[in-house]
Amino acid sequence: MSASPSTSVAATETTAASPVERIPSAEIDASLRWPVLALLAGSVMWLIVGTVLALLAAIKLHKGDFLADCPWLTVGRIRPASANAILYGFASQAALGVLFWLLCRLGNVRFMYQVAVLIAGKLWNIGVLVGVVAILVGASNGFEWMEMPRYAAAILFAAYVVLGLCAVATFQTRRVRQLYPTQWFLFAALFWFPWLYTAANYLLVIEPVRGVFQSVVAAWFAGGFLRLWLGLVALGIIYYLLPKMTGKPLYSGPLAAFAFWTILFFGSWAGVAGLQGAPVPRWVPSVGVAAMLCLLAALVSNALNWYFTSCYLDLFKKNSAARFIVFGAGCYLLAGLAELILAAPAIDRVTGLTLAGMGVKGLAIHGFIGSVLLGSIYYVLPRVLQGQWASEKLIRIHFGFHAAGVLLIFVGLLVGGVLQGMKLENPSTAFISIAKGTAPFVGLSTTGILLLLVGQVLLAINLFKLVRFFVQPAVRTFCAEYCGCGSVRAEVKP
Amino acid sequence: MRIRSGGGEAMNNGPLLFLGVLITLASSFWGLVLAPQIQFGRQQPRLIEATGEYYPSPRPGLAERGAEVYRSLGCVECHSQQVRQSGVHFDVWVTELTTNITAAVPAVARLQSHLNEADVAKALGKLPARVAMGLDAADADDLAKKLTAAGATAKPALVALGPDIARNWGPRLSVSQDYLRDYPVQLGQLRLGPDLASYGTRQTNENLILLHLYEPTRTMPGSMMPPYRFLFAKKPYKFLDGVPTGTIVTKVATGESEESAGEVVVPKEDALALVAYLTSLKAETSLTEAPTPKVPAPPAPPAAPGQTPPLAPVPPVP
Repeated sequence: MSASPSTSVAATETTAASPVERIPSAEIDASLRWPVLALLAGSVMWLIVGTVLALLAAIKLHKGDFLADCPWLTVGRIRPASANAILYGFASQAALGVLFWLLCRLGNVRFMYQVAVLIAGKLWNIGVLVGVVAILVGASNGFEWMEMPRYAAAILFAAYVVLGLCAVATFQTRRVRQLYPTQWFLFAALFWFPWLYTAANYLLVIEPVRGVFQSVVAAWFAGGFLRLWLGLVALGIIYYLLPKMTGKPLYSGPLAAFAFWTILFFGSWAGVAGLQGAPVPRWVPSVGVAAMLCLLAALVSNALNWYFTSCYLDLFKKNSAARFIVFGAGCYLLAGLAELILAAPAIDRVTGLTLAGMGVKGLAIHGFIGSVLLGSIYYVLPRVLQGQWASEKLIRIHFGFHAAGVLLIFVGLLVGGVLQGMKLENPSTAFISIAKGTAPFVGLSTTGILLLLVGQVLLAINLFKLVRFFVQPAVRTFCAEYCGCGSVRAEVKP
Repeated sequence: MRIRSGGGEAMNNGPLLFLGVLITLASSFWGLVLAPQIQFGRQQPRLIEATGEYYPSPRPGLAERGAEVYRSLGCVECHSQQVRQSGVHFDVWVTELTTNITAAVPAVARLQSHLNEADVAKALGKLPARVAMGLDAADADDLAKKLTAAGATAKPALVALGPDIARNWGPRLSVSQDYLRDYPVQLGQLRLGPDLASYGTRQTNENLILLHLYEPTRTMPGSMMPPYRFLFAKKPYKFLDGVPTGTIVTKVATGESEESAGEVVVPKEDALALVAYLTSLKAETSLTEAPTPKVPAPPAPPAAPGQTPPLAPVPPVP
């Protein structure tokens, strides 16, 4: 389980010893251009769709009459639709895009599967679209983050098989045999997701287990999906980008290995901690809480490793993409601590089934995973497109909106949830007044979602400009070379 | 430069890494999926001796369809279906006097030293009378035996505790037996609306539920619940007149405005199914692992064992 000394020294691929002549990074980036662009651009689109849906849902909590006559825009449908759009459309897709790039860069290989990934990526998008629409028309499965009906899940799975095989093949054909910690995280995530997804779909949709064990399986899936698919990829990205951005080697490989195995062993057990008080065997949530406590070890070792690798503040000032990464790392620590504190049985008795849980989930999804993926979109895209973001300032503004939005969502829902839970403890307080009492806090989170959306629109504008500068000349060259019409059309144009 | 072997360092070894990933997944799958399945997977609907019926019994057809509507509309996003209980204690009730009251009063007062004889006499004047509260099982049993020996037939009665119970969200905690016939099980994670695990026991007025679905703020001022008007159709008033009574077209008690416009609001079948489902939510059957608290009945007709308790009157609030 010990990492080699050179792994810890290797601040990414540049110093890894290899007898082979190295392929220049620019060449690797160029080989990844179209697949990564397609995946990341698609993910940004879904992020905006998901956030718009989340905003609609939040508004409807304040004003029930808003769009009330439309069955497919009812709160109970747009909330899961939003979560699925963000988790599958944005997070999973962006994770895959960045993952391909990281595997190629770290393995020093050219990407070989452009066409397969382009097609499978489109298929993934179709799957998400079918799934989100199905949820909106009422075909949801009714299990958290597994709401997409079986036909949409089948499309996603088919797309993933291709994407995952391409990723594993890229991993296997790496020219640098030495593995950097990022690769462990990505490699594990690549296998966890399909296994979790098929097992959960089989046990909940195809051959459903009986009674409350559906809820146990659903909690197992949701926890694993967050911690061992998206979470592992996001951690892998942090382990790559922090040393890369600071230019210093990773502080400790063995410490990273310890964190990795801790997360792998205990992460999948922690999801059921949310079932405290639910009508399931008592030991199930207890095991979950114990696992969550063990995850604290991973949290601390990650924090120490990152702290000794980079000075956060310097990095924060350095460039705009780094801000997202540093903020994401901070949110990872905060979300981990918050979830552990809320899982303490005495506290869960009060805050269970309140907004507080939503707040921590929001922090994990938008703060940790979302920030890290957005940061890596900002980092990766100009490299694979060999261009520049149109406006560095827009990125900084996006970061401001993003960070403020995440904190508003987290603080609003956490405080609102704690107050809600404390009032629920007192049976003489009328339920309706408790529900109404949450309105200001839901309002804070609504504002937070709005800020996130504004930031995402700025990203979309920046992305559009970047792609336009890149695509226009590419199209012109293509036309000039293959049709001979590019130059003609350019002349004809006034 | 094809594949060099993984070397001595474990973390550079792809297959070993794969094995690690496989083992961790298998362990959590075994622990959280298979183990509970082996432990409880064969749970079956149970014969309840008191009623001679199996619990949980299948929902009627319309309610079964309503469960689909409930799932499809995502009601679980705001409503939980799990009643929690923080604990139980026991009260002791005197149900019958085997001696005359003048002999019983001092006996009871002697056993319950904090009560004076006047209070005891007043309490025993109307049976059943609660003479002790908040005891644990052993103490309650002990006291009941002593009281019975002293001439006042007494029995301990279970009291479920906790805010959910006090809110009248259900008579007892929810247990896994309650969900055996549910698919999907909708335990829920958020209570922006009240818990619905036992909604059918506290709200039986179907018209009120329909009205609540149509316009929540009318039945519950200030409600945050969105209206589900799309589950209803507006029909000309004349049409309703033409419909013979007893069909599924139920008139919602809407306000004047709709009536005067010559239209009447009628629920679509989905709304009726949803209401049938909501009223079928009754997790109240007494089970060994979750006995339903029961206030002792007056002595005259002895209560049948296991009979569901008379429910306290509930304000007509969904």
